[in-house]
Amino acid sequence: MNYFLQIIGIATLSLSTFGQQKWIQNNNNSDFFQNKFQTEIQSAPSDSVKTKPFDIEPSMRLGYIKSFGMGDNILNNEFQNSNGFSIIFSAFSIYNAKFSAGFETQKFVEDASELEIYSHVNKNSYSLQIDYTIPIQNKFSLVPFINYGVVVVNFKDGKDLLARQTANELKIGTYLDYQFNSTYTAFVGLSYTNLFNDIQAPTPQDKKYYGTFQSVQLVLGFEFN
Amino acid sequence: MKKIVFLFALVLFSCSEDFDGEKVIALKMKLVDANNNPLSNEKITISTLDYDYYDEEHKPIVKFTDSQGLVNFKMFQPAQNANLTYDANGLFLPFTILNINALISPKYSLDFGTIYIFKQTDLVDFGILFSSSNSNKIVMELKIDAIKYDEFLDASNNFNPLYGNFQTVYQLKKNQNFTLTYKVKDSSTGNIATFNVPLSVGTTPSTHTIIY
Repeated sequence: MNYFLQIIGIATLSLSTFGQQKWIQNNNNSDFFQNKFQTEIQSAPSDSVKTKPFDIEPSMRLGYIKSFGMGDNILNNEFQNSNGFSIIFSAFSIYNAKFSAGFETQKFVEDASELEIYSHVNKNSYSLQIDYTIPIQNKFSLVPFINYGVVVVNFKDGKDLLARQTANELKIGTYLDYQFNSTYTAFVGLSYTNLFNDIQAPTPQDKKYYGTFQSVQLVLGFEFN
Repeated sequence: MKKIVFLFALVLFSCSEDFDGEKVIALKMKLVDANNNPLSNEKITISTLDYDYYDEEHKPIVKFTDSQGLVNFKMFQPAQNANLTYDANGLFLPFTILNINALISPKYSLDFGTIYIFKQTDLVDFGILFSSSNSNKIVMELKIDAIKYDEFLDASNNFNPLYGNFQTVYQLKKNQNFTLTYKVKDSSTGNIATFNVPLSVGTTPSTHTIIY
């Protein structure tokens, strides 16, 4: 609801801006209204109005990741997510939709491995992302995103690589941004991730167990514009 | 710079995974003694040691039989050679099955069936001798279908690598009937004849002479 109110507000302000000078000129004694309009125009979020359909807008998000695994699969049942790190570069936007490419790495430490030959798993993702910024209040923005990644899952024993999978991952979620200034923005993100890989296995259950991973992912970090 | 690129390429190409993460196999076997009694808590290991000069042995997969003598688990398929070893506990005789990948079925099952674990006292020596009556004839390929003990067995061809396809000495389970199969080639005609000979062993060492 806040979003719609905000859009209506922005639209009103935009229309008002064109007629502002004329209106003020016709109402020279209305200092109160003039000041109020000027204040509102200045406080309108800069991202809210895009005058150009295509915009070069470089930025970078750095984040710390924590995943909460779900389902019956090897990463969730036999390993524990310890920590992760993500970096996403944005280069341009089209009608407020920002296009980005990123890298993400997560480590899963052996917990109850059936075979006891792996010490940990490294999950590295190379992804493309589209997000859309929705200003919600003052310096806060909601940034829903969809992310597709090619994921390399490395099963390791110390430094030795024992097995490798190349999978796909789809991530849907949103960031909540808090903009300190035009350069620095803090964000927290929440997303659902689904890793899937068409491996060869004796049964469909085995395919699912060894070739999929679902999680809810929390990310905390900063965006640099 | 060239040296760095070369070293990087060397590291990159010398690293090979022990397992193929894109393939999962179901490994199954049953260990029994010479009297068909299941053996529980017996240790088997699967090692991915390749005899390549550059390769090194990693931590093996270790499993123990359950109360039914069964070992049953899933794993990523070994990428190269892998060996299954039964670690003898002093009472029984050890064995190693080489190249176990050769036994993987198209349905990703690696079923060893029932494997007999022997004590030395369960076994009796059996040998094959040859007596030639025709210099144009040669004996090719010997095979027996007996319950036997081999310390090493190559799963890719089912031969004991110490003897290949011409094993003439065996350690067989005592008191059993079996069939000896062999081929005789007549070099003058090029004909190859196959013979199946029913035999048996008791409790004392014995031999069989092939007259050709």
